[in-house]
Amino acid sequence: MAKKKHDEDVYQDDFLSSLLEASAPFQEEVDFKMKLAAKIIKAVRSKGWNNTVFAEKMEIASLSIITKWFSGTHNFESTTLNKIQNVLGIRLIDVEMPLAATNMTMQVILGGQREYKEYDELAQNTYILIGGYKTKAVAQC
Amino acid sequence: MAVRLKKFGDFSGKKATIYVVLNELGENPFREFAVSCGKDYEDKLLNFIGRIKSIGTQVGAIEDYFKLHENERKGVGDNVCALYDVPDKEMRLYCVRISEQILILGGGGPKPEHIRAWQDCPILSKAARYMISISETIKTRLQTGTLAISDNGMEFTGDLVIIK
Repeated sequence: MAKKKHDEDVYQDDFLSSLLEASAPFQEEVDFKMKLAAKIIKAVRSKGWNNTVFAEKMEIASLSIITKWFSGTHNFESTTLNKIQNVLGIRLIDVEMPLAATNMTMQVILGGQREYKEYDELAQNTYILIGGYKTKAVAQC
Repeated sequence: MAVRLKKFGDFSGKKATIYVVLNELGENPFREFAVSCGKDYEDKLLNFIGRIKSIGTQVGAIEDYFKLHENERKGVGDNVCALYDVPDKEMRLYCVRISEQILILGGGGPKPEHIRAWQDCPILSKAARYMISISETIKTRLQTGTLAISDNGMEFTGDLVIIK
């Protein structure tokens, strides 16, 4: 059984290296498309589906569209991505606002009293609004 | 003429090792393909380059990225596949895909619209048939144990001179 490694057998070529440099400005975009396709492909395969089954689930008549999606070069529309993530049960796009940017108001009823609680994530404080007054909530143990 | 596999340092990474095939003169079909693209197909070539880099460093050689089974007869050269441009499908780059972790780059060229299959184009035929022969040689060498795949599946070990 052959075991010897040939680490010295590494190919370098100035012309091809220059092409790699020329493509570098687009590499992040290329990587994104390739990774997006990879995530979809892995999710489809993990369900045990082939391209035909996936096309049926997506209600797409042409298999060539699936082939195009899986090539790692396709520019997806957001509506398509949304449908894919619903069909596969995965997250591809995250449109939720981060919690830190929101103030939440909750209506709570404690002991028959209607109160409003407001949580300010940025200030890390919870306020209770009773009768128009805003009072900082203090946890009690 | 002796032919050897060489790891392509610029393109290989944590996801896949990319190889080229070199003859005694240091010529390799991938370089010839890149040179032949010239200015006419520069954009498509740069996209291929970026995708190969991505395969090596980000995602591996997932079979769906390729047009598979570019063999002439079933069972011969089954690992031969082609990277192609989307949506135009004007270009073919023939490769031998050993696994998601090992990819060997060959040559290729433009595929004119009127050409139905690579057999109809002398340039594509030469490139595809060469990679089919490389694929068959590697298959035999792996079976005889004079060439092997490392325990982590990432590279070849053994005698990388595949044709003496």
